[in-house]
Amino acid sequence: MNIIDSFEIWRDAVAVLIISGIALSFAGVWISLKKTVFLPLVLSSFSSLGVVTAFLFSELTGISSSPYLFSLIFAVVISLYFAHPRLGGTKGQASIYLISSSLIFITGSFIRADLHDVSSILFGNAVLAEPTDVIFAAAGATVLFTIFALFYKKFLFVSFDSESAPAFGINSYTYDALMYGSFAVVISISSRAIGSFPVFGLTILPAFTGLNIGRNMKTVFIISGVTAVVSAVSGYFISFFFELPAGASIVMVAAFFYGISHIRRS
Amino acid sequence: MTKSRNSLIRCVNLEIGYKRRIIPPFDLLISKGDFLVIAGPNGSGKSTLIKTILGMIPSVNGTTEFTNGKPVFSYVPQQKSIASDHPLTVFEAVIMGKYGRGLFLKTSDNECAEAYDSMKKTGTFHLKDQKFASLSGGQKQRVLTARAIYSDPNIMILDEPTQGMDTDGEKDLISILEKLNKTGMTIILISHQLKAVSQVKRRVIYIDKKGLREVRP
Repeated sequence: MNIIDSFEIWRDAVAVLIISGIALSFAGVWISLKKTVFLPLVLSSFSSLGVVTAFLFSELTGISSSPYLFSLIFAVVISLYFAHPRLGGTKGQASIYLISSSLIFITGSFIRADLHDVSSILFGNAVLAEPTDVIFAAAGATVLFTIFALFYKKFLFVSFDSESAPAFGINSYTYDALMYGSFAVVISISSRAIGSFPVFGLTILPAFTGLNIGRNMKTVFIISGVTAVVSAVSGYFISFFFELPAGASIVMVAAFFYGISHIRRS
Repeated sequence: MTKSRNSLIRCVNLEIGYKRRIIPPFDLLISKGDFLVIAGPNGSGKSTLIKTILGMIPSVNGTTEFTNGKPVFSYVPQQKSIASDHPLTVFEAVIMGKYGRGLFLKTSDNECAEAYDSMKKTGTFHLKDQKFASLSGGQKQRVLTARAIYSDPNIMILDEPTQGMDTDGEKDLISILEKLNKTGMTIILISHQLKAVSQVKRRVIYIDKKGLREVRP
């Protein structure tokens, strides 16, 4: 099957990858500046715990519940927890990641629903996507960029000098909570659509690339966004032609660009 | 302690610390036009006092009153609290001084002119397009001072501003602060370096475990 004939197959997946790539790399720049690079992993893992909780809740009560909604709520709740200045440390993030990952497997073993359904919602599928995934990814990106358009100045201040912010009339916790909450929305939606591994890769590596080469905030965002989109799309087609795992191919291309930026900076 | 027309901040029986007080209760009056140096050894509570006055941390006991309405503060932090690899330019760092006051992205021409003016006062105008992260310690301190000036405060607070500076840099910075003080701005300078304190011929209070006392009224 050539690439033109299979357009219907890859169209939605590529659309989701482009939208998610732009949003995730943008979030990644702020996450890197806040020195909280494990946050995407924790948000993704905790939102997955929301998915299995939704399945378990439905089985125990007989009441139908949306795994997507549970996933979103879990991600937002944990993001607000980590926005607190005394709770946002690496130790806490690593602990929550390990605990939630363990609970996913333990709780998952009690679920009787079709394992394929649970697995595809839990870990996403970077190869195949549905039109609803495109809509959700676009909605998540819209939430993220709207919040940042409104509060960009405040976010810039707290990412640069969080300690002084209150003295200049900016409540660090409020804006960290808003920032992390918007990351939670995008990461939760993207994890369900393309999987937590490529989400982590597209959040962190293009942002590092942008920060290595960019001369100011504007160029950092542009380089990160372009790197994420090129990595996502080329990684997807490399996996398509060479029958490789899509998520790993995307991350490897992003890592290649990061390597070049690192050499250039050195 | 009387409430004068010029007083800005009045601390009464104030106990500072993180849940437990670190020094005995004290009274303190800060007036308009003061150049107050808060001196003392590391860990004595100088920064805690300032953060309590700014409302960044609650007091353990006692009260802090703003006697003529809440003044506009600006704060020059210790450099270790600043993100060291942020891609901001010097100009972008300075215009942050008014980011607490509005939501809109665009900085007006008037605001740009004010930012340039504050950079000229601190001798950092020629650095405006450079990355903040690429500057030396002394240059960073001047840029943060320019940000504080640009925010047009009633009270400017500087936390260990001379740390990492050479003698000339220290003298220059103190001279900039003296000039600002002459325009009526209240300056509060925190330092554990006696050399820096001795350059300022103004009011000095000293904090240590025994408490807070005025050593040069």
